[in-house]
Amino acid sequence: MEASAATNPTTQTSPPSGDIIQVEDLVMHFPITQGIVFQRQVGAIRAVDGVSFAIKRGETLGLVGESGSGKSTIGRCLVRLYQTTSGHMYFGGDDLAQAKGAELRTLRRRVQMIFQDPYASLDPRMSVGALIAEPMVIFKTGSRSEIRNRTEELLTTVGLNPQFVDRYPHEFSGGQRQRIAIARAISIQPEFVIADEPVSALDVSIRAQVINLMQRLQQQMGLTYLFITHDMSVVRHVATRIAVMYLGKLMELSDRADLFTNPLHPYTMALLSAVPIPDPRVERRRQRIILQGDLPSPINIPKGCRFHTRCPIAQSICREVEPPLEDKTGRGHLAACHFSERVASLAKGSGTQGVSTAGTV
Amino acid sequence: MDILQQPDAPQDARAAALELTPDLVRKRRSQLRIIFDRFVRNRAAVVGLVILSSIILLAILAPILTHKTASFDPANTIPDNPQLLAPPSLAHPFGTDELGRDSFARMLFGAQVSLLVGFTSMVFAMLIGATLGALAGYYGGWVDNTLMRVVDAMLALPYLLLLFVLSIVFSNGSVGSVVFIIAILAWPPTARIVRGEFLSLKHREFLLATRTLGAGDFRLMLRHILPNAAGPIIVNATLLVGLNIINESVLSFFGFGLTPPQSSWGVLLGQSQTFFGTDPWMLYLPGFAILITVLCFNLIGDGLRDALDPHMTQR
Amino acid sequence: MAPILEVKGLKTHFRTRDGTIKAVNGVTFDLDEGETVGIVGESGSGKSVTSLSILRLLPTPPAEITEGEIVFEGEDLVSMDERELRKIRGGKIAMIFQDPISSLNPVMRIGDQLLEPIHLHLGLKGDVAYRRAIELLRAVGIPDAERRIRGYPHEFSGGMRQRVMIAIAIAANPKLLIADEPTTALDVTVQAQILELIGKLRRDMKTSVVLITHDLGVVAGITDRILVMYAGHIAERAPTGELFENPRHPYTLGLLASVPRLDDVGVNELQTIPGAPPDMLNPPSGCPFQPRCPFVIDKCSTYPPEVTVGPGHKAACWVDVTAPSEIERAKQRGFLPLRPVGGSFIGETRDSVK
Repeated sequence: MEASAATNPTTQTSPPSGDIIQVEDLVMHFPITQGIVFQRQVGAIRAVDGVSFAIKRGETLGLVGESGSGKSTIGRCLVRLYQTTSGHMYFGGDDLAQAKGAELRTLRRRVQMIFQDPYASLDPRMSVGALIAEPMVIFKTGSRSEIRNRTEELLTTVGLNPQFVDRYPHEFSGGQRQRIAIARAISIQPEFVIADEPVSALDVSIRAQVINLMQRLQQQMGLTYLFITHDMSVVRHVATRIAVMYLGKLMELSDRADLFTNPLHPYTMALLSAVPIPDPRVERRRQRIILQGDLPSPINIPKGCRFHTRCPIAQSICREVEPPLEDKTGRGHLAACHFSERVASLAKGSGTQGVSTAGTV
Repeated sequence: MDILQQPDAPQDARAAALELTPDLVRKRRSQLRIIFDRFVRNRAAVVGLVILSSIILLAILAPILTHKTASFDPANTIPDNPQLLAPPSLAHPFGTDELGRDSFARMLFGAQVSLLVGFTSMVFAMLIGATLGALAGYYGGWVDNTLMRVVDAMLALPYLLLLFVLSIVFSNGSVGSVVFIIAILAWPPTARIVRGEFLSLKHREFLLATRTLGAGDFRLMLRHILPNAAGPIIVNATLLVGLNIINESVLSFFGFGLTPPQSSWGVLLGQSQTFFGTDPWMLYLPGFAILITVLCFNLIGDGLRDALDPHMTQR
Repeated sequence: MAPILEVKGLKTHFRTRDGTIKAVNGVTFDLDEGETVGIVGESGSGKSVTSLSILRLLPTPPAEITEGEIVFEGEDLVSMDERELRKIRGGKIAMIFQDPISSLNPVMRIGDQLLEPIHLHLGLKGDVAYRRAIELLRAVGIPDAERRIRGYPHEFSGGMRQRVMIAIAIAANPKLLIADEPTTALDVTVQAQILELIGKLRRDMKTSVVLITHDLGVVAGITDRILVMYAGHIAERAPTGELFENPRHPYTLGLLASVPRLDDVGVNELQTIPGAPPDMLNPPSGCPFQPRCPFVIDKCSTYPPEVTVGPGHKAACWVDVTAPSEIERAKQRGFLPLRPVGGSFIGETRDSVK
């Protein structure tokens, strides 16, 4: 795969033909109201606070962040579970943020979502067959028997016995349920799939199965994924490009290889250093950057750079001026930090950091 | 498409093949079977169901059963040679009333009316309550606010007063008018329960998931929320039948409901007031019938509550 | 040195309407003073039930310790009466749970919850106790402890609550600390903070620690020995380094190969363990892993004994997974040997050992 072309989404130029979706300055604020009869707004949870990125057709963009970063909110905005506060989400020629009625319905057919918890995301009162067939019934993709045949075919595709069509979700294990949710999402052949922590609720020995299944389907159907997760190891495995989110904004957006070998934001660096590696030899060699303090409240976001309260290299300018997300290398490696050139020095004593990971991309 | 046939099928194919092995599958029961099994475990509910079934059966068979004890239209006609206020005997197992009518026959025909009123008024109350509650819970906002304030207002008024005022205005002593009045009074609590169910189910992840598929409001409400809310709604309906039977008897007892010569348990109670001193069984019999029937409905409701609990469908 | 804790042949079963769940089905291990042991397993492996059985915290019925001994400092906890047991709980043995939100009482001040074990187990009162509480909060890294001690749980973040939980756990200087998935509900950066804290306390207080987790990464950095549990049995036990370098049970091999790693060197497909963890109501007979195992042989229909394969290293498997012929046979069934790792990522310090 070629290195990511420098798409700087902050510039408002015409969309490059390769992009399937372009998110521009997306804002999602949830109002906080007081009073019962006469409600008035006393503040807002700034879950997503101005985010721009583009996803190329056929790639997987990994969106990583910790709880409260707003990463799931972005996914839910994209399928219009929320009405966005402002901003655009261009999908083909249409703006997902503005679509209504019939237009929204046709767009929904092309954008599908897989949720985190397969125990919660399947209607317990519906049989597996009815669940998988439902999107096809809604969009009337064929006759009753055609849909039935297609449902059984889909079950086979995701690795389940087609004889299971009349069973109910509670008869399946977590991994099997997530397969059902995937079959449901791909039944109407979407172009773009948002996967919100699709493996986090699963047992460790099951995660690999679901990840492999998703990757196989991507190749077979030419799907584009937005893969939302908190797990850096998983995202390293599935994503072609990775966006790192903190408190409602993107901190860094880069090619996978670049992000892991040459992170340009101190938050990314802290995240990477915090992930435990199942190998005691490696673990004993590592030195962690332990972030101080807690995540600030999204109601009261720090002024200046929103990461400065916990940043190990913060200077006075960071408390005043919010750094823009800009290309730091000329090769499409975006970071929002005043001192991105100092980030590498955070990994103290790292003599060799640059064994090339050419094979990774 | 069939990955199992591909020779170079990747790892997942093997995983798939293994998932097809039958020993990973638990022995299965249908949803109805699970609910039935759980209901049967509740002894009291089963006893309630058996007794209630017998009462319903007796009511349905009333014309046949009373043929032998009374050789005339047993419930309403006053016989030619009345035995007034006779004590229980072989010919009249429950005795006769002040006009010489067979009390057993009056009881059975009264059961028909009481059960009919209880059941139909439940159906109407459920239709009104479930529809309004569903709309309020699903749409929220001003729809919810308006409908729920109406419900609050209805629940704030003294219940019996409302019952009597309504019956003075609307009742003409027919079964239809009594059903109407009882239904009008019974829907607000139902609306509240249904609204609560819809409100909490609305935010469940499977509904969000279905919404992202492009499903419309009606599909979400009827195909997804309603089946999941069915448990509490059915339980409420069961309890409501019992409550409505009581309401009918209260109305009729005070003379606002059905009027003699029609028979219902409430009417029989009302008639018995005058003779309580001399012939107390006239009061005890319909009173006992109401007590047992309502108790049965409550026991069944309790049993259904446990059997239909969605948290327990996991197993 | 005599072990501080010996678990011998522990069997904890749950009697349910649908049948008996043999959650822990014959578990034996011991723990030396100052040692940290990790218990790794998936849901249903029995790792949490094992830890709850040690303090007899499971409700009876449905749970019942049907067999086995749990000897702590020479006394059998299984046969101990409730009153004596209460002295040990929170005193000599303390426990930290996964969910710091529901483990704290929401209507009690942090300070009062912290003072409880200080009163009960140390017998301290008044000012002395209060000062000890503040000291503890400082020790677990809660800033502004004098003020925060008067706060309620909802005023604390998830990571801070887990710190409070740890403070409560160590209040009476326990000999043994059982941590059941202490970082699962937390973010990675917070997880790093908490793991560092547990490591520091272990060194400073010489406490023995049982760390229960599903995450192989969490145990790799902090434990001396690891027990791998599957379906109520210990599948493999080994010193930490040995387990990762030389895994001898097919399940351990599968786990290590199927977990995506931060230092992966570009593999396109992860190895998978086929199937799902067993339904504990109807577990497979014999070795519970056999339906998912690429090394399976006929003998696996009876449960294998634990075989010593190295110093302190035992695996409950009939097959020698290191024998080339066995590996060849397993490859026929789709087994892939451990993939190469050691890909680079920044944040790792390759040369200097700190």
